[in-house]
Amino acid sequence: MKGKGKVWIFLTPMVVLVVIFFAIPVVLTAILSFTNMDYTFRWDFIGLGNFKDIAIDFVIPKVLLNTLIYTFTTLALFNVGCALLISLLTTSMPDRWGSFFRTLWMLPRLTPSVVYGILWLWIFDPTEHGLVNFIRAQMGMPPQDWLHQAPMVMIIVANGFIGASMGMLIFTAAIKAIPTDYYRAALIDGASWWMITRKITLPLIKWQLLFVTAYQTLSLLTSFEYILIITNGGPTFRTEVWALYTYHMAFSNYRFGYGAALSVILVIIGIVFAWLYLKMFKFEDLMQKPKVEVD
Amino acid sequence: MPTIRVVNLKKYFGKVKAVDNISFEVKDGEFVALLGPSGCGKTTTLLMLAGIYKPTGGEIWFDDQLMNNVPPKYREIGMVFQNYALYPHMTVYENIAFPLRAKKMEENEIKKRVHDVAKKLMIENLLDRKPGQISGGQQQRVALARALIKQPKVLLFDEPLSNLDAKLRMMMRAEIKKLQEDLGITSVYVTHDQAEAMTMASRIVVFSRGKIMQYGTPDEVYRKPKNIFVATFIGNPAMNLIRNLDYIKEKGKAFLVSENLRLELPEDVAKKIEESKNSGKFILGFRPEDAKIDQKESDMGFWAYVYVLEPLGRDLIINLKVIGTEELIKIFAEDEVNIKKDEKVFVKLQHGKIHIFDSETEELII
Ligand SMILES: Nc1ncnc2c1ncn2[C@@H]1O[C@H](COP(=O)(O)OP(=O)(O)OP(=O)(O)O)[C@@H](O)[C@H]1O
Ligand SMILES: [Mg+2]
Repeated sequence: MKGKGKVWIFLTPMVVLVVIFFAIPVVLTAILSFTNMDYTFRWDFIGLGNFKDIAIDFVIPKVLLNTLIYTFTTLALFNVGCALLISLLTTSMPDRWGSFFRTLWMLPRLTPSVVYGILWLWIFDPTEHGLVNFIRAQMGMPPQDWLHQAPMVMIIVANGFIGASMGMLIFTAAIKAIPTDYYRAALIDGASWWMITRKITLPLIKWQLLFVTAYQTLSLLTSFEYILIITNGGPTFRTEVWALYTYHMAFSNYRFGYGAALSVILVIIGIVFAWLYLKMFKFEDLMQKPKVEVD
Repeated sequence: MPTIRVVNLKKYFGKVKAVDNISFEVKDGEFVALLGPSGCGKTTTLLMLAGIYKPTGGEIWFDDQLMNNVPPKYREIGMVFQNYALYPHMTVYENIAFPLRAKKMEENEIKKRVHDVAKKLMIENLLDRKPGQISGGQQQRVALARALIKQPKVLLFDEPLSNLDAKLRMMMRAEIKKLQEDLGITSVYVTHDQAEAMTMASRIVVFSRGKIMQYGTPDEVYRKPKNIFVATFIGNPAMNLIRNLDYIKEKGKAFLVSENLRLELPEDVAKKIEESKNSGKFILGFRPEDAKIDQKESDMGFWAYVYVLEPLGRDLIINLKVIGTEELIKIFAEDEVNIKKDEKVFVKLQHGKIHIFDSETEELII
């Protein structure tokens, strides 16, 4: 066998999996979003009914705002910001220390997510048994009820600490792949650490920056397990994000049709962001011609 | 321009002694080559001069200033790297301007200087291309421009021509030499190509395994190699060696002998050998151009079989197998020699053009 036929043989298993576990659910969700299916599992097509309900749902503006704050603060401060900072710092120090610090940041990834969520509940426990309040007590300060004081900060920090590790790995690998001679040349030419970072390192890891930003935006938009464990969206919708709201609608209130409509909108939001990033990073410039030309 | 003085310089990477106690001097405005095989510590030495590596021991002086702890940016150095190290995402213009931007120079002045140096190196028409869009030879010029633009007092080259084809290499060789002479910048030039070192440098540091084997002018290292390493490393084809010889005296005459070979030595050579501290075993060396082919036996030489002929257009190299030792030697032939394969010929050595080394230390005796 030769040519195109062989390609299909290799691709088929993957294509089948994608169809069963991705394409079909997506189509079903899309269909579901035009129905009023509830806990009785009976359903009628109601056209754009669910979407009209979303437009007048009084919780939605709050949920939308929460989602944006949560996604972009976590992204900027941790998943990209902190990840980049750690990569830049740990690659500027002797490798022994660099590896040590990076391993430290990997630890949350190695912890099961429920354990990790509960860990943060303990850290922010409102009594003096919680880590933060314990430290405050040592300094003579009264305990605080963090869940009511700053629930958004809690979920951002908890997510950020675990989310930074992926960016860190990718950025570090990218920085280490930059030829050492670029840095030597720059040092001899008198460039400062800041100039080297801005003019050499960052432009050369642009592609990885785009990838991590886009990937993490989508993953922050759609994932909610830590929020579920730590605040469950509360108190009173203060940390209710879109994905969690979808989950609550579908699986707490059993409004499957409404939940499906919410997730369809989330997918559209995700696509819009992905498209924006590609524009922002001038994706066409990054896509080089193939290095090897074959038919 | 400073005089560079390197004193007992060492650089160890764990157990690897990349540079092991070397000393040499580069005079104000001089062009010195560091020559040696791969892995002998040339780049390491250069990076210490640049301030990228901290020496494990020893001192680096620029004139009377100790440089060991001076950061690279204050050393006023321009460096050309083996792979050029041009920043791929910047245009040629930005690459050349980079050192000036680091100095926060004014935009007008940067523009003027970039165009000046680009003109000198004939790359003005490439300024808005990226390094990936120009040829290796052009990249080389850009790298040179970037090294020159801040008007350095010291130039360091790390095998800058090794990625170019033979013809371009010859051309750039002459060009770099001319440029260096015009500017009078103290220069250290790393290479593993002896032809480059011989043609460009006023003095050559010959390296092996982190140590200096010899430091001298091209003529000195060629004519008076201090040891077997230098003798065989420099010169193409390499110096011929006949090993494992004993020194004997018979009826007042001195000979170097092996089982079937007997070479009479002139009196002055014999005297030098007797005066030297030696192990009793010797190596005879002579350059391919310092021997002649003859049909009949004469006073200093030996018999050999013609093994292979290598015509080079202008020259002819005759490969011979020495009778008695089976060692292979190469000799440049006279113009119109008429010899055939397997023929038995006499190899006649010239007085004053033979070198004798001690077998054990491999150091030159005469
Ligand atoms: N950063 C390093 N860590 C450990 N060993 C090193 C390091 N840099 C160089 N070495 C070792 O030191 C020795 C000298 O290396 P160096 O790069 O100076 O050789 P070189 O003469 O420049 O060789 P080449 O002609 O191949 O460039 C080599 O054995 C090399 O493996
Ligand atoms: Mg090298």
